[in-house]
Amino acid sequence: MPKKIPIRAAKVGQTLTEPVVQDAGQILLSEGTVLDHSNLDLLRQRGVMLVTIDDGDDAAAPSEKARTVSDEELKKILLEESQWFGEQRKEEFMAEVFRWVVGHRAHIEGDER
Amino acid sequence: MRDEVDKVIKRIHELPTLPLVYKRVSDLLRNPYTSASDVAAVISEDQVITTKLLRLVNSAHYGFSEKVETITRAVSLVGMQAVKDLVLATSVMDLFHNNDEPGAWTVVEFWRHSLAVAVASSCIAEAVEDPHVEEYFVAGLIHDIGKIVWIEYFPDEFKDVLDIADSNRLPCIEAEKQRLGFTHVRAGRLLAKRWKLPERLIETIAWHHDPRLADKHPRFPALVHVADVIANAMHLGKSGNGCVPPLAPEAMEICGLSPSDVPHLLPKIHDAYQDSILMLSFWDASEKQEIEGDLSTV
Repeated sequence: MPKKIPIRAAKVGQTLTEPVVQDAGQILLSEGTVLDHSNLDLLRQRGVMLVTIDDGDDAAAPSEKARTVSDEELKKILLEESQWFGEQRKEEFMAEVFRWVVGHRAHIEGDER
Repeated sequence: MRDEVDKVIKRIHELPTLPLVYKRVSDLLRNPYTSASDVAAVISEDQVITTKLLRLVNSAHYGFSEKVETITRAVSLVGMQAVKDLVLATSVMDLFHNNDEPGAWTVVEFWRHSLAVAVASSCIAEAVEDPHVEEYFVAGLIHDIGKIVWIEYFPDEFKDVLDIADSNRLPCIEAEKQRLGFTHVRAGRLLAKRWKLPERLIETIAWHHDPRLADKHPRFPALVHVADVIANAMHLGKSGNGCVPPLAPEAMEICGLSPSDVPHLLPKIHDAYQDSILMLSFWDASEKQEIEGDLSTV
């Protein structure tokens, strides 16, 4: 599945699903190029910030990760984070951040058990 | 309270100045004919900064596949402006690394938080396709520089600030107003002006809690504000807050971020922070001695 990612996150072996084009219209790398060390360096040197690659590996959603802890532990995490975030956790953007932080903590603490 | 304010202002004027190399590189960049080798030649005269700069450029944050061995190569890879900003960052971090610790809050935790905000700022800049990624990184790294004044000269008072923030679940800035009558953003602004930092950095330091008040470069304080809130929310380092500081909604508009960006953005910030945290190791006291020992034998 094509996904736009920052150049910093691009890895050797990933395949471009769109050509990388400079402002002047020059094609730096064409669609289908498999990234290697030298063309990653070239893109960084030319100031390219984003590339589109084929990435079929979607990360698990925080809610799925949260299954790794017990209900009691999850309640404790929710309480601590609710106090830490305060009323902001009800606002749209911060509600998303809150969900991610709780999911991440549940995943980490589940792994540590 | 007035006495405390006067004391703070007096102390800021006693703080050390930035190394000469930063001023010389800044002067060089005002000349459009300056080359990468001109900049590299000036930086290379300061061996401590040279060593640290090469370590930064070789860190995971940049992710170059081959080791960068020379400052000339570093300048050509990351650009002259970014190198100037990195000279500033290494200089500031080097000035403040070995202080008393106010309670449980350590200087290392302070720099961890600053690094987290730096990393989050650059990740947000990438996400919204802003070309000044490295400038945001440095703006994030030094946004809380005013707190250094507290650590350096007012450790006891700052311990009170941290206790007030923690026990009342307040942002650090609110506890500062209660205890000191003076905030870290005000102290930081004075320090940044004394150091003649670029206006975008002065505005970031001064307005990262209230980006609406920035009038020349509003995107810098707005983006660093969002990065600061996110880094706090994610528990990356400690900034002295007793809660997640309030997010200014207008900052989101200025940055061009939306709630749907969160699921992609936060894992990237988390991973980039983990990759970059090793950057701080060379401010560790023992390693600093090791570097200085190496240099003294050259």
